[in-house]
Amino acid sequence: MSVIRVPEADAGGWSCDRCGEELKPTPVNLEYMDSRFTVELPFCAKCGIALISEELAMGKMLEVEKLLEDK
Amino acid sequence: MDQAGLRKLEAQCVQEEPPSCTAECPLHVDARTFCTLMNEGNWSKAWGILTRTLPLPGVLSRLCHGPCMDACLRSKKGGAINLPALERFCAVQVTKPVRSIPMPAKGKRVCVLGGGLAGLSAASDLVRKGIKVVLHSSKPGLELAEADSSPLPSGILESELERLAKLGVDFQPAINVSRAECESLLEEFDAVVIDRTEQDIAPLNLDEPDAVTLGTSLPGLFIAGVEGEPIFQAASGRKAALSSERFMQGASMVAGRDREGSYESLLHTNLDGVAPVDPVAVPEDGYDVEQAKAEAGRCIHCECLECVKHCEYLEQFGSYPKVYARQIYNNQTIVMGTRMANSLINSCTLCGLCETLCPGDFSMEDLCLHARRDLVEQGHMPQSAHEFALRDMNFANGPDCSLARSAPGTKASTHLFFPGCQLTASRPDAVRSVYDHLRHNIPGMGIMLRCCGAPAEWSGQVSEYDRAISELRSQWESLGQPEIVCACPTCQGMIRSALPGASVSSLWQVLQDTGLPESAKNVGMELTVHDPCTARHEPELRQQARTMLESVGAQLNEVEMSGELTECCGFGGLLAEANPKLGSDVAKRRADALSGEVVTYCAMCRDMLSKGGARISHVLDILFPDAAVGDMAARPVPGYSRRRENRAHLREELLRDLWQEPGAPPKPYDELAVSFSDAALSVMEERRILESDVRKTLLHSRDTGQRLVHKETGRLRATYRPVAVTYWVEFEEKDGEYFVHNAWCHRMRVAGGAA
Amino acid sequence: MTDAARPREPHWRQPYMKAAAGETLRPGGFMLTDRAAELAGLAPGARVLDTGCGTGATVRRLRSRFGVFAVGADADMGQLAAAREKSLPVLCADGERLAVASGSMDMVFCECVLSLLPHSRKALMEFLRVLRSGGYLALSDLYALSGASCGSGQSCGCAQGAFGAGLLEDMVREAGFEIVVREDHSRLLKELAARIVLAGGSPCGTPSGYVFILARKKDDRHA
Repeated sequence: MSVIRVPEADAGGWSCDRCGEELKPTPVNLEYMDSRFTVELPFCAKCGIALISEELAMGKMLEVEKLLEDK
Repeated sequence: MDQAGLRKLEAQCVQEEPPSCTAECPLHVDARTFCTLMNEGNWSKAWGILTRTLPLPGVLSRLCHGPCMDACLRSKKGGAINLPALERFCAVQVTKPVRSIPMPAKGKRVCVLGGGLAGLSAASDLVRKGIKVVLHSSKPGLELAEADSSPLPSGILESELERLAKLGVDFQPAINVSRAECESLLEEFDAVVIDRTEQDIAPLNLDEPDAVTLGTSLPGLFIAGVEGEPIFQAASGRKAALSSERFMQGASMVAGRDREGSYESLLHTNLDGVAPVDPVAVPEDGYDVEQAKAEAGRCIHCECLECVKHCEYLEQFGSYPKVYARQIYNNQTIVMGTRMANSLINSCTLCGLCETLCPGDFSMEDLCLHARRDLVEQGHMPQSAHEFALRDMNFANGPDCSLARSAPGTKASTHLFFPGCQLTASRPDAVRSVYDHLRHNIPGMGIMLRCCGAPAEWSGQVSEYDRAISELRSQWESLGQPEIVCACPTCQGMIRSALPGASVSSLWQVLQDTGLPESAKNVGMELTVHDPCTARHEPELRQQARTMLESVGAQLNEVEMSGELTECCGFGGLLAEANPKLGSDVAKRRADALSGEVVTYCAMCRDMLSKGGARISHVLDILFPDAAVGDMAARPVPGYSRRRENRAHLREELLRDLWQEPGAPPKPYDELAVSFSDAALSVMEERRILESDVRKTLLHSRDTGQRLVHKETGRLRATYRPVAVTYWVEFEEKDGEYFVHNAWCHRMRVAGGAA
Repeated sequence: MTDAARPREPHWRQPYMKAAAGETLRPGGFMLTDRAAELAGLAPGARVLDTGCGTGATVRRLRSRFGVFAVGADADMGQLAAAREKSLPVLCADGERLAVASGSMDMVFCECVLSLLPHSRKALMEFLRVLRSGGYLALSDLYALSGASCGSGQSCGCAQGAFGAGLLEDMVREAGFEIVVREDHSRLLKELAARIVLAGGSPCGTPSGYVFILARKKDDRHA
């Protein structure tokens, strides 16, 4: 399926401290309960770290988790 | 639960039973809704209630003698509702003709002989169902039709007959029939109904008709008509009409007819708190508008809802157990697709109050607990519902917290103090003081620090529960099967059912027997008792706690819902974990109902109700106060991280002081210098993020060097996923010291860049 | 009219929908299209009609992956224009009047469209008409979960017309098909809802399921 583009793809001033690279909008796989979504997120390709902001985690991601769980 | 199980369960909930007035009425008029609408002054809708049920509404609304009044529960509180007077008022208000829309024609024909109220009612019911009727009568309506002696205002009967004719009743002159003629009528028509109040049945040489069907030895011939009040005549006609309809369809003549006439409703209505109101007297020419509204307003609106009235959970889900049973059954039987009732299933506190209040003993506890086990077994339990609580249980039973020892210097135990994991988490110092006191009085008193397995039981995790219990059992056996002394009512119940061979007693009884410390005497306080829900069926335990409090001089007050009617604090059944918002609503509701200084004997009740706003002490707060805390009833509730630390520290302290054993070396993440902002601590508590989770994340970041930095603020972010949850920490670091500003988490796994 | 009372623009017209659902604008994308084609043994040269083809993504998929002569039909001129720009063979027609000769099609696709049509039963009769005997109908659609209604009270365009799962099957049978395969794919719907959330939309609160039906037009000779 296609990559989902979200406003959260903006790194908002955060960069990778270890390698000094900027975080670049990159398709990242998010998995939960046998479902997989490809979402564009700020990502350090060298260190393999994607930024999940508080808003994203406690907002959309929490909503999706509940949705997939039938909670 | 299978279909039959569901039916049985549904039958236990009487909320959908009709009120007794409707059950008593031979035509089953919905008098309760009728009264509601009359009270609102909505005459036309109220009239609709009558026309829906009565075969000849214009006539019967004026002639009804109100058999419902004998059954009306209002008669115990002032006097029965005068439904006949209300019906007449309503009939006068509505001048629009009754509109009846018949069902599509079925190609069936019935002959009705005799036009009394029974014959007319049968004809009315049949034509409304799309069945053609030929009615033979010399005088439809009999004496009602006689202008000078009729109890009806003029024109009423005529307009009803006109309506029936329009619907398709073919009015024909009366005929006399012999048996042979009757048999030929049965060949010509699909069924024949005789109203014996007009038609002579002697020539037919028949026995009395069957009581259930009004059928005769001539299949297809039904005999209606009774002596007595008009409403009973109409009911008899209706019965014959239903029988002939079934006969024509080849359907069972007897199935499902047990509630056709008057019957006794199973609806339970609590009249406590219903103030008596006298009936509104009926003037000679009937009620006026205000009088009618007032009389209708006296209707109690009989319903049960005994359980819902006393349960925030049942109330917030907006319905009642019968409906919930079906929702949960549907949830369970769904093969794929969305399970709508998971939240319903996981939000019950399993406190058992509904079953105690319910006249039919309906138990949401059994229903929800079984449903949880099914969800777990089928792999459909939402991961996030109970995971935190189960982690907490495993921590309490793990190497950092659990302890099972005979008293120092002894090889086996005669007794075993089992404080429970939540008391240990909330008041570790009190657990230590109690143990010292008990050991002083009973030298063979061992101690066991662990969880009783309640979180596993409540979350439906049968195998986790079995594992926790079998560990507990083998530890108990290795200590010489001592008598177990419980400080927690939940533990006491869980252990009693898990170890049937064990002797189990309450700490309160044992303290009473051994005597109390001097410091505990002369409390001299007035205290309101809150019984924990797990003590609902333990009258002895409830009494032991009270006796002990009284023996130290406390004056006890009782609230209305206490003892076996006590209400849950919101922790039961892991509600606070699965549905935190509802959990705090439940706690607040109970806290609001408890006035003044409150005392309880469950550590979790104490903490939940304290968060709900009550001034509340645990019994041990009174007997063994913490000298460092001034006001025990207002002592703050320790957060999740502190609870864990309290358990671990108590174990270390006991090992060090009593057995002179060094504790375990500190974990590497414990050695980090970490401090937290107040805001961070508050969101961590809400999001169930432990300080140890944050420390693990910071350690992981330190070891891997992996972290993000903000170019303007210089703040740092680290992330780590120990098992099933990914944690994020925003922090500052200075000379190896960490200051945490924020933390958040998610369950979705970041599976790496897809590029 | 207040904003709250105004019917919401249907999902498939919302800007986030493309991001969430891609070109097909339906749960599972091409997953069920491919599955239907494989189950039906769709072979090169077959004549196939995609009803409610929109911009023609499925027509392209069927042609390119399965080598069939697929044509699309849709009533929305704007959508068709986009398909024609890509030279895809599409015709302007209602689901109830397909402007295709009787018995001329080997297979008809109707994915996530039927419950949006004003006359679903008529459309099924029309699908039957254009199919040869033994031809296949691939149908996927939302179905309503009993006793549930949209929490927002707004009409969102998709779930509002959905039939109960049993009713949909009955309609297919009553139209003259036999059902070969029936599968519940509610998971795909849930994933689409999750994608809508991630893309910044809010999925309709109506609890719905998603069903896939492969049906066959009964053989005239044995009928």
